[in-house]
Amino acid sequence: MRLVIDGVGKTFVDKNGRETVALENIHLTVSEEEFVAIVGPSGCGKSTLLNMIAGLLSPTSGEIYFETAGAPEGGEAALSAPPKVAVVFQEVALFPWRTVLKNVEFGLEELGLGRRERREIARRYIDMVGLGGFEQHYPHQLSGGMRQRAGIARALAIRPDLLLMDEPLSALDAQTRLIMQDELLKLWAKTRHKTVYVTHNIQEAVYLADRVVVLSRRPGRIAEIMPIELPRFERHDPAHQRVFNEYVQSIWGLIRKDAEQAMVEGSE
Amino acid sequence: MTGTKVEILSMGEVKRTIRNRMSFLERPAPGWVTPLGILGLLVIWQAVSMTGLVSSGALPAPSEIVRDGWEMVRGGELWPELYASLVRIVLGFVIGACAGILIGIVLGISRLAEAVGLPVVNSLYPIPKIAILPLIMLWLGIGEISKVTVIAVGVAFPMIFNTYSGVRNADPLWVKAAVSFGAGRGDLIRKVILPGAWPTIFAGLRISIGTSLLLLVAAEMIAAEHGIGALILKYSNLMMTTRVMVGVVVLSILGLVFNRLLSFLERKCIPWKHA
Ligand SMILES: Nc1ncnc2c1ncn2[C@@H]1O[C@H](COP(=O)(O)OP(=O)(O)OP(=O)(O)O)[C@@H](O)[C@H]1O
Ligand SMILES: [Mg+2]
Repeated sequence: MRLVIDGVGKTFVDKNGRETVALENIHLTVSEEEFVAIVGPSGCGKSTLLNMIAGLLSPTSGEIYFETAGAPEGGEAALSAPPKVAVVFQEVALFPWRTVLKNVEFGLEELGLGRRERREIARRYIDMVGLGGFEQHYPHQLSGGMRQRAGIARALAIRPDLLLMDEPLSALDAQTRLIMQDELLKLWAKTRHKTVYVTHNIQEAVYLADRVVVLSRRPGRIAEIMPIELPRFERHDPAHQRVFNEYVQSIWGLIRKDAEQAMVEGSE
Repeated sequence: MTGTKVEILSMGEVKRTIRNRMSFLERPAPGWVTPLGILGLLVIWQAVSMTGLVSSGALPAPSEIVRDGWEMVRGGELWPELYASLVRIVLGFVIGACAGILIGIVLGISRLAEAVGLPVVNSLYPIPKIAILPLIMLWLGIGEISKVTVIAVGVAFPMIFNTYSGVRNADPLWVKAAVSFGAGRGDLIRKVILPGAWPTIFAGLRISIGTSLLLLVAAEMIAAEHGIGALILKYSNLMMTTRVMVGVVVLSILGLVFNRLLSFLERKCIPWKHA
């Protein structure tokens, strides 16, 4: 099952009838077991795109759908269940009135799983993200990094057909961020969900992704889709340092002008 | 510099330790302060009364109030009054709170109900409920129903507003997260909007305690055989100030007990705020 983003655009109209073209003519396909990163300067429409994929916002033009090549594995029955999409939000979005365990169980409740099964699955994913022992803690009792990991566990627990992450690490300090990047990579190696990962950190994108989608600004368009042809789990290896940096440099070259422009407009 | 401690060290060096200048804000009061404060106040009151500066007809001494109160308890005079008041206030409070919360939720989640209902609620809210007490008695008679009703109405309004604003202020991020996992309307209300609104709902309940006591006493003073309000009125007509004070003290204790009960419930219902 592939995710197809077919000529999608989004125009916001404010109360005075003024239009903001946030995105225009986005074409992108995400295959099974693929990790796609989206980078771009602030305000280029990354979150907007992610929200549309998650079904939390409707596109103004184009459509987004899942496509299955050939007969579906589970027969017709597999088609009737809607594809499961999980989102890890930039601002964590854990429910403050639920413990870590209950937060992770949330998505499983919505799938209609029984109590025993929910508990078992939730515990497994809490352990997987390294939060074992914190099941009964409330979000406000956790550090920023732990909260983010709880959010990731909540998303992974439903075994999504598509995993969406909107700058999941941007609220973290630099060291925690590096550690979490490695953990994300390890998690991904275990689960291999197809993933769309939004970030403004180019290194992070090159480190994690199979392909990096570079968005330009005003209106947001795809400037380039760059396949990262480096072995997935050895990208911080000194042997690949030079190629790694070349990727980073060429992506930076693509968005530099836009990013500078965004800074000027932001300070106005 | 108030925040530093200066020491002169042996080699003529000066050491200035930096102190926490916020500490005076954080310093907790020791536990014995509260009872001591109340006791102190009572002692002063008693002393003033004993000097005879104030006549005991105007302000009876605490010892007299305790004595009369004890008599009323032992003689069994207080219980029917207290029981009558308790039934009214508990019924009125519970009914009013439930109705208020329900209406608040509906106003908060349905745009249609909001457009129709909010102006109505807004125009009824500022009316002091004591003013419509005679009207309610006219409609419902002077029996128990009208007393419970006026308390319920008085409690319902703050509850409507607090619930409504709690529901409206649900973080859109939580809503987004819940919807992204496939939560429908019902689950959204039950699992996200209501839990998020609990703190504001409890704030409303706290406000309502005072309102309900006020309306209880007012209703009992207008027309009631029994009840703390009726008791206060009776003894003030007889100019028996000490017994009036007993009634006032009972009301204050009632308020305190309700407050404690709410705090307890609040810790049970929103443990995530009090961890
Ligand atoms: N609800 C909205 N109404 C109007 N304009 C909006 C709305 N949401 C986003 N926009 C506009 O759409 C553009 C893209 O916003 P978006 O949040 O997708 O950017 P982003 O790439 O995620 O930026 P950042 O990296 O800062 O998070 C911005 O110009 C923004 O002003
Ligand atoms: Mg964003």
